[in-house]
Amino acid sequence: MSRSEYIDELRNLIDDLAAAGGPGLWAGLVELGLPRVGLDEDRGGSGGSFDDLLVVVESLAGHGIGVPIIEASTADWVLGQAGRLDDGLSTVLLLDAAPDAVSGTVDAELSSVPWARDATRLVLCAPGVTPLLVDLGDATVTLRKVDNLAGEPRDTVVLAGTPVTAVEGAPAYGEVRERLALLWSAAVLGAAHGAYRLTRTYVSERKQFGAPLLKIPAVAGNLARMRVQLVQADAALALAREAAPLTGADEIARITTAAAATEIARIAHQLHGAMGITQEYPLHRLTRRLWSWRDAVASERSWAESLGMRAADVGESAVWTRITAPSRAINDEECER
Amino acid sequence: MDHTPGTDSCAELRTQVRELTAEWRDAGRYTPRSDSWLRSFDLEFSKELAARGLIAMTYPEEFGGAGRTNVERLAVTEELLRAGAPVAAHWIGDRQIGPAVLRHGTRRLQQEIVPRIASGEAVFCLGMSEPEAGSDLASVKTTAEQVEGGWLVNGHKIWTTQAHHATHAYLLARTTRGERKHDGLSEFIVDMDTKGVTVTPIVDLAGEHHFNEVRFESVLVPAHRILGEADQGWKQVVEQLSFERGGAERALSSYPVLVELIAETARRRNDRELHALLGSLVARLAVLRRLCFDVAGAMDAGQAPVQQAAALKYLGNAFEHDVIEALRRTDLCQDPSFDGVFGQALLASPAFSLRGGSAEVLLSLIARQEARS
Repeated sequence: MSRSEYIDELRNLIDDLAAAGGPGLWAGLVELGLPRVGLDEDRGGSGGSFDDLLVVVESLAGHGIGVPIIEASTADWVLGQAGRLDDGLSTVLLLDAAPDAVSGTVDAELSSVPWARDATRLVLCAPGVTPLLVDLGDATVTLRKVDNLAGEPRDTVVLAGTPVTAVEGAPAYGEVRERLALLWSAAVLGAAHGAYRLTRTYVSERKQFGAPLLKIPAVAGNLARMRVQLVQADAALALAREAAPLTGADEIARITTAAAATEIARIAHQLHGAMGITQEYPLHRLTRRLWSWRDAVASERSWAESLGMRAADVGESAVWTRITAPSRAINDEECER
Repeated sequence: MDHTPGTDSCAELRTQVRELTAEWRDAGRYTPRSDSWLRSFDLEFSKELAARGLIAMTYPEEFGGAGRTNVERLAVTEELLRAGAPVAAHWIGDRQIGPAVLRHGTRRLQQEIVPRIASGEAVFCLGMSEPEAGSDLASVKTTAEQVEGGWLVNGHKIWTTQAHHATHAYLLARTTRGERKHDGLSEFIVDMDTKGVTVTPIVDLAGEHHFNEVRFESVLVPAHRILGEADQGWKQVVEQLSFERGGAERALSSYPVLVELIAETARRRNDRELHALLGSLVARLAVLRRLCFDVAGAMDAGQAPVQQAAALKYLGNAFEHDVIEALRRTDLCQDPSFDGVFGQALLASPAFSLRGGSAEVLLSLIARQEARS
């Protein structure tokens, strides 16, 4: 998968939308079809590639914008593979185990459902089963509002005898998880770049002791540490974009971007001093998202554990072969967990 | 991960190196060790690689090279490091001096030096660091004064790895004293058997002899042994440093420890903490490999990726250290011995982030570029 050829156009478009800002932003994005980039037009998508979508997600995140684009685009991708999309906001939730839905209805308390209060549909994905579609407008559905650290909806949804339908022809759980992993990696990377840009501008312009902060060697060193983290995170995402069939590339991207998020948020605040902790100054819009998003869907720790587990299982030689070989040289047997 | 330039040839090269190292290892001709690119010297092995076209890979064929890409070369160096093979005899000449002579040397110098690097005959040491200079590479006191027939060199270099085995030294010397310390520097190729060159060993904390001091007392270097233009050496040095910093040896010095860590983690089925630790190290390794690949690709495109190489070296050295610390986490390392995998790597580790620029120097280099951009 080569890097999107529309990369500059898409970025400029997002820059303009971000500059306009305001509560109408999501509506503007929907109107332009951006949440459905990377979905086939004959299914109701906007066309373009998955890589275009990654650029959109990364750019929005770079402005510290929190919108349901990852959840909506992923839910629509699941639904679009099974049939044609219609309007309305869909969201998605990954579960460790499928809820019991023998009679076509479900009883469950689902926590951390992203944007549930705004969505009309919820797609539930669990290992080994067909995804289930829930109508959030159904009378049996109740909802408790919960926000994450970034102030984004992560509601608790209670299903009590709620009718569900299986989304036949939908992609498997693993594919959905991998797609989410790449999209969240792109979001974290975008916010990390945003925090870096803000910090670099601040230390270049803000003067203390008669000179820009950047003249202080410890400040310059810390800015370089941020850059080094970005270099690493950029490379991890590039690897994952190009190595889609490579097992573990999604985990590598999540682990690397999460680690970068941690370091970058910490240094960005350190270099901003007290200015960075005010409501008024925009840094927190980025750092609160870095803290929330680095562990979204699954934590850095859990990605690392599963990657480490597999590495130990297959042994050094297979690990090395896997990370050095071109993807097509990896056979299915090797990809087994 | 379709690294298009020579994907198949890279795979083939990897296989070739794996077979050769396995053969030598099984025959007891070497024991894999950490830091082998600096510590494991075996001229015979280097000549064997040369005979198979596995050194001087990127050099033009007319000088004994293989005319291959830096990406292909990376495949070979990665496999050699992974195997902990004895590569110190040719490493510096192959990595750094050959490319520098090819870029800046006269045709006569190229003809004289490059084929001998390619065949494994010329063994190079780097005469850059000086006793009072530390990380300040430009504060060179060694002088080269123009005389009848060449240059007369006087000075004192230190931390010169493998100088006691070397046939040649790369030498950074001051040819003019100017306003700025970066001006007036020149690069030379010096025969180690020239009258006036003396080598004294420096034994390291592991009791091993790799470092040396090298003194130059009225050493006459022939005129054609200057590399590039007189007084313009600094720009060439900076460029050369991206060859020095941007290779896989900046991430894989402690690879034998990682091998041990993977095996030990497999034995500890229930240690989830250790699995997570291994997972994050594997992720970092995969990303470092990608960065090595990017740097090699940039070199193939004719660039000198100074900042990328510095970032790679900074991240790579941190990784090399963290791998060692991770193994320590397993208690496998109680009472470590000098010749064990862990002990060897630990004793070698203080040098990881010093050679080729300390972590702090690399950060300030990156910061300067950030301030400019």
